[in-house]
Amino acid sequence: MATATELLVAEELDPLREVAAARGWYFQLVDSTTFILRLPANDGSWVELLVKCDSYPTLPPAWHFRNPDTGVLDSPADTPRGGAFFHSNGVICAPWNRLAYSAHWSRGPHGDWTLGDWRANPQTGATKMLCAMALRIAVELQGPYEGRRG
Amino acid sequence: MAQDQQVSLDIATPKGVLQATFPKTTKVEKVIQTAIQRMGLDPGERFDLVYSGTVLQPTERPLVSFGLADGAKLELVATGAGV
Repeated sequence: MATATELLVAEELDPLREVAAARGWYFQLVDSTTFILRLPANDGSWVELLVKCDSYPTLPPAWHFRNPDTGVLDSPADTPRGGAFFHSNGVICAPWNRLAYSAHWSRGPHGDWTLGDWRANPQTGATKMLCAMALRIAVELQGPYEGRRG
Repeated sequence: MAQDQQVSLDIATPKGVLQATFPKTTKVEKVIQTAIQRMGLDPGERFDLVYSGTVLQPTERPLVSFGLADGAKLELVATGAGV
């Protein structure tokens, strides 16, 4: 029987799949709570993410950058820079990314946020659904993106 | 209204894709309101309309002033900045 997390993730992936298909993004479901998303950047390259949604929505998803050839996560060579979301620590700095929390991730910039309160964090705004998060990253890659860290 | 006075937009939103046609004189803020309403998004939240990575501001400006071509692909994203 599917868990509440699996049911919600499946529901929220429907609009993300629709947007991905309309925009030519690569989408692959890895398991019931994990997916790969590949988004275009303004330099013509693609940025791949592995998104882990276990314990969602109690906890926000973990948005990892992934090397499409090796599967290695969060290597500087695969990590974007530029703008305010792509933090110099190599993580997407937003309350809707589990990796932004220092209590969860050693490179997380924020020790002042509470992981379980991510939806109530004023910085989250309306970025409360998986497709909203993906759209924000896609827009950052088309706008302030300045290349990779390594 | 004459066909050349309208523009069809393809807007990616948190709840899927909205394809809609607007008079070219429609203000961006009205397009945002329409997308929120038609896609069942929370009207209490704030969103930006983005084209090619650029936020369409000020939202009082009409679509025609941004030079959007028929079929332009835009994104409706939650207002906010990285922190």
